[in-house]
Amino acid sequence: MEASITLKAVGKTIGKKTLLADLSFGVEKGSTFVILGENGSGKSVILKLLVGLIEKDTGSVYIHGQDISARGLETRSLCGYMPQNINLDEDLTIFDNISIHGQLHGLTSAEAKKNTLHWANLLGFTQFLKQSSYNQAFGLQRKILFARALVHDPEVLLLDEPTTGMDPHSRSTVWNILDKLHYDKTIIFATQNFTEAERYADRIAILHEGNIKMDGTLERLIETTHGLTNYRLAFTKEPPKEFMVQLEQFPRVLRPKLKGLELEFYSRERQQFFNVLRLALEHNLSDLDTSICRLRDLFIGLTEGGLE
Amino acid sequence: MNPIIPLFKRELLEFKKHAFSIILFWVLTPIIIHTLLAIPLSRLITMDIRYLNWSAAGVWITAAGMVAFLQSATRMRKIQFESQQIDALLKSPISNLDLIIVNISRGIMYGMGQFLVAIVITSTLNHEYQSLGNMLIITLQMFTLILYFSVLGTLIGMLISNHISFVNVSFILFLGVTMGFGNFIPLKYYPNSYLSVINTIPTTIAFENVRSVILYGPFNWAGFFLTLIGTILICIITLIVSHKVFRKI
Repeated sequence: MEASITLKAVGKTIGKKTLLADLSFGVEKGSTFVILGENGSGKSVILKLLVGLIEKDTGSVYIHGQDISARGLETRSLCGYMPQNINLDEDLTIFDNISIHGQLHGLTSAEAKKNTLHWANLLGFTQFLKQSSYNQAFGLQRKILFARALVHDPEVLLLDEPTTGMDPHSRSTVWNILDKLHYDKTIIFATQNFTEAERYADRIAILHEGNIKMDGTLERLIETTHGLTNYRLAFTKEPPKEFMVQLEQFPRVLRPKLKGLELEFYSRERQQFFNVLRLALEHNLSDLDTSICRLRDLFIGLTEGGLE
Repeated sequence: MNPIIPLFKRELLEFKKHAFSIILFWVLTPIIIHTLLAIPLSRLITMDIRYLNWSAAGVWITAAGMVAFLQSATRMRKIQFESQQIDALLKSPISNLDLIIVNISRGIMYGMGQFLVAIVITSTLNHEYQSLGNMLIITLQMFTLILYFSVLGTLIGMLISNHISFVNVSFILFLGVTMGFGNFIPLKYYPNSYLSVINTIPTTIAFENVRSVILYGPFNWAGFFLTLIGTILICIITLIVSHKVFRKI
């Protein structure tokens, strides 16, 4: 498939802090790419860099084959960007906020009006269009930002935690729209929501301290755990300290962690689980749950120094 | 469509929204300056001509200059530091120069609006300078001064993020324009050592030009062009600074 976005050895530092460290990846046209990372990992920095809000120190970035440093105006017109923070123009109505933005991207006044009404209708805020964007509910402001990113029908959509602050209904509307759009647009979204990443991504990159720790399809990422299973045991009473000491003596019980009345650990071997279970039965075990490793487990493992 | 056009449309929409308060401000500002500054000083300062006629130039310069400065500076501060609209604008296919041009134009539009209202109000006091030639020269000189204040406001708005510091700078500028350049107190009252300093600043001559036209005195074209050149230089500095501050992070 043809590359839509390419980053080659991109680096960015502010003072002594490294925001991006020798970052390289590519995103194919018409695919949905998710950047998953904790706060401050550099997710937003990547998106801001792609839309020209941040200049890189080293490396090169191409959008549809055009260097963003040399052809910034052209590459910016290809992108629709939804930031994490609310940066609407409080002096304008919601309609004007979206329409002016469309016109800044080259739409005529009539086209901008048509597209604004279209997205407002789809996202369900037509009745608010004449109101000021100031003091509106956070969820509505997020939907306005989403519509603003889409108004000029961009080929590349860059969304920074798009559904944060939205109610479940709005969230579902946004994902339905993205589901329809993803066939002819390249979508990159940054998120901390594992469910959304698993559900909507064609490819996922796990970002940690400005570097991609792992990148691939969900299946490929899960495969790397080689059948690791997550176990959770619940107790009616907090188990004594010697229980944890005994647990640490099991060689293939990975990352045992007691949080209140719940014990969580990982293992590849069922026998290890049975051994822990036998021990737990002596200490007021009330419930248990097992699941194969998912993105959340992989993410925790990668960002906290590995599962093993 | 040139991206500057929607930016101007945006300015127009904002003006329409706040038109009443802006026009009220345009009317009240020269009246307040005249009442609280010019009238009390007219009791203290003796001149060959009527002081209140002479000080009309100071009213125009202070009102229009400060409006141009404040409009361009506050807008720049708002988009950059307060509402972060700068991100929404800079991610569009517009250049830093486009954004600066629109911001300076905003200051000019508001400043010229203020100047026109101020000249109408002060005309009720003095009609002597109202020949067509004089009006054209006054407007030309005022335009360059408004441009100067607008460019200065854009630069200051780009650099000063702290609100208190910005208020302090605006207050110092207001004091300087009203009290420091002979706009309300004739320059003959200032010590020679101070005059030798301020006479090297082109805007002093530009201010003097406006007063001179009222008195049918000579117009110093060198001062006019030097102010213009100074404005262009600040404009270039603003553009250079914008490349450092707009896309830094």
